[in-house]
Amino acid sequence: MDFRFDLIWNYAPFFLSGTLLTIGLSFAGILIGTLLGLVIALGKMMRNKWLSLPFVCYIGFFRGTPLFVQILIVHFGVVPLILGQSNGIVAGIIALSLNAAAYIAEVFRSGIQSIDKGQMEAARSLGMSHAQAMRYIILPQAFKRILPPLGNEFIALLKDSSLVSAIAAPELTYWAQQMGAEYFKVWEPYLTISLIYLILTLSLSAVVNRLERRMATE
Amino acid sequence: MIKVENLKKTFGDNEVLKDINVEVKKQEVVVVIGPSGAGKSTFLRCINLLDSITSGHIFIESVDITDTKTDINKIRAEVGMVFQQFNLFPHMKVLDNIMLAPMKVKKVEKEKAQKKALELLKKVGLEEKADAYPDSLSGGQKQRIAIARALAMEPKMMLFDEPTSALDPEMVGEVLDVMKQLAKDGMTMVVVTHEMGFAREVGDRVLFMDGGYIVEENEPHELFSHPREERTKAFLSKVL
Amino acid sequence: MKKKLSIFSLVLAFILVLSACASGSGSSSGSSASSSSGTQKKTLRVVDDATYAPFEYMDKGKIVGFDVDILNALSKETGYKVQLANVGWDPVFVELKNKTADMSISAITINSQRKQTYDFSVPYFLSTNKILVKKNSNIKSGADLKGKVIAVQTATTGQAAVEKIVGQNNPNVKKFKTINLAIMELLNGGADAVVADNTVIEEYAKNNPGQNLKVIMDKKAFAPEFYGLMYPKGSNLRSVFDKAINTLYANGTYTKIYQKWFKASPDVNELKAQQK
Repeated sequence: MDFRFDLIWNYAPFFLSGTLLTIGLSFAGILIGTLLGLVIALGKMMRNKWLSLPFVCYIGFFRGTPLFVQILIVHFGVVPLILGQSNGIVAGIIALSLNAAAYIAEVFRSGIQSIDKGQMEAARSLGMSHAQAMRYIILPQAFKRILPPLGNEFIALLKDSSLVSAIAAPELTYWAQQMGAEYFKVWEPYLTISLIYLILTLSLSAVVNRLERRMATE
Repeated sequence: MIKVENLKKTFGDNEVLKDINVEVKKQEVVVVIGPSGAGKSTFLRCINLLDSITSGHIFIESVDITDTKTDINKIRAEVGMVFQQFNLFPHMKVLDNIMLAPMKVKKVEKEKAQKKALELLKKVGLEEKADAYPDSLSGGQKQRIAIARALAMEPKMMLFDEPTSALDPEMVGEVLDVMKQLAKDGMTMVVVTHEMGFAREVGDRVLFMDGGYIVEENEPHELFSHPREERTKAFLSKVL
Repeated sequence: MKKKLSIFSLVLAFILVLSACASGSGSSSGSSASSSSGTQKKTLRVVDDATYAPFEYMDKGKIVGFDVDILNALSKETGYKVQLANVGWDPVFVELKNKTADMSISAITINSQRKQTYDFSVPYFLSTNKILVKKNSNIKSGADLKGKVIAVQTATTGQAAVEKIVGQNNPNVKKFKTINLAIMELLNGGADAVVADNTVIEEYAKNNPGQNLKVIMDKKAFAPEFYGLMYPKGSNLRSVFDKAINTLYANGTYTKIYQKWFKASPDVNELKAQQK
């Protein structure tokens, strides 16, 4: 097999800008997805069945339909309504965040529910409100436990961001597709971006591991 | 100070409390005894609504806490509770465990809260553990910290839910000593326990519960030496 | 043991069914009537990317379109049975390069770059790129595309033609995997124009009069292109199929199929002229 490194070099500037956009999309997705996921997790755990129903439906929808379709819906349906025109990057951030939030919500929920009931009771018996008990007692303990599964979600999100190439958001996979199309090559572009994704995911899990260690010593 | 009227509590089809009527006066120490499954813990947990009640009324200092308009957080801040499983916050140092609620609920300044916490640690004999994490403590030490944590809110009364049942026997004494001191200081207390010695020594009144009812109540000496009800006699013959 | 075996065979059967579905989805085999030789000819594996109406697209699970009809007519003419598989655009090239397919008919433009790696038949279709814009657009020619956002399908001649004007990998060129997405981008305001094959664009504009679109032709900016059957390098199918294509031109079958799909008459002379 003749592997053409020179062709990769031709595309290096595009892979670089694509990598930056991939990082940006993932970072925004992680940030918004985590915040939204927390809200949805708390919403789903509400005791009133009718109040929690929308959150249950949200999780069901975003976990139960293909992310690719969600991206198309957001890109061609939602973003034009807001911005007046379609925008691949904005749609990518929104779709990735909404999708990740559904998964992260379930991670949060399982983490929160794994905390001993006595912790909430002790906090409430001291006069704390439900929100205070969540904030000072339950969430700090839950967060420590959900860091590993949360790290998994972050890595999945980073790789899922490749689907945004379908709406021509010029991230890493988009440029690999363009390179493949231009030179009729498969391995040069796709192995290259796989290596870049690997470096990104390894770095991300290193960050999560560090956070885990730091929380463990607290 | 506490007045319970026609309290009923059901879990699904299971009627745990059938018709509880009781009054606790200021500075009184009431000990609740009875076989497991009698409803003792549920009764205690209803008093600060950790368990919702099915029907009836509970008044704390003439405030009906079963009224939906009552701010239950405010009531709970004045009713300390000590649990069988301690329920210390494992992610916080001992000092922070004690300081958290006063600072967040009563908005006490940090310096003041810390001073108070250290005082309370001294009172339960654990001042050297201020910077320890709960996991490094023995059961008896944990429970004494839990008592200090409840006291930090300066409650008007304290509820104890089998505070020594999860302890190794050699640690029961240190916790009971703290509770005795508390009673001597004039704290209003409702204690669910299997420690008959404590009931006899410290209790002003003993309630014997069985099958969701208060079967018999009396001052400890009378109840232990001259039980009137057959069920009380049967229970006491097993535990004494 | 017996039970294990039955589960195993069940799984095996399941896998077989699945793989049959995958390879045979929408397969349209040519007629079996062998005209000249009596010997059994092998069945050809033909691959395409069935997302490009009206040339090849999925209709209720079957691949249909102009190319499919041409392929079936050629199959009848040559006596080769064909098995058409929808593999997607990029894999078409991979399969032919690796010789895992015998041929592709997928509205593929003949160009010198592709000729280096693949063999082509004589042209069977004349195409030119056109510009699709909204009716109120001020784009009137290829040159007007400069500075505008243009949506194209990845790896099409439309993309190449646009990038010739605005520069390669210009960020204003949004490249989509299918032409539908590119047109959707135009409709939703994310692009000012779509550049693609005339037939595709005209067909879309004709079928969606409510979208207020217009088609712009610029013969100077976009040179005509010719589609050909694509083979692996050195394929011996070329001469047989070239002959058959000319037969279709001569006996009117080509014109009939063309009119069925494009509601217009083909320029057969121009196509034949390319063979010189």
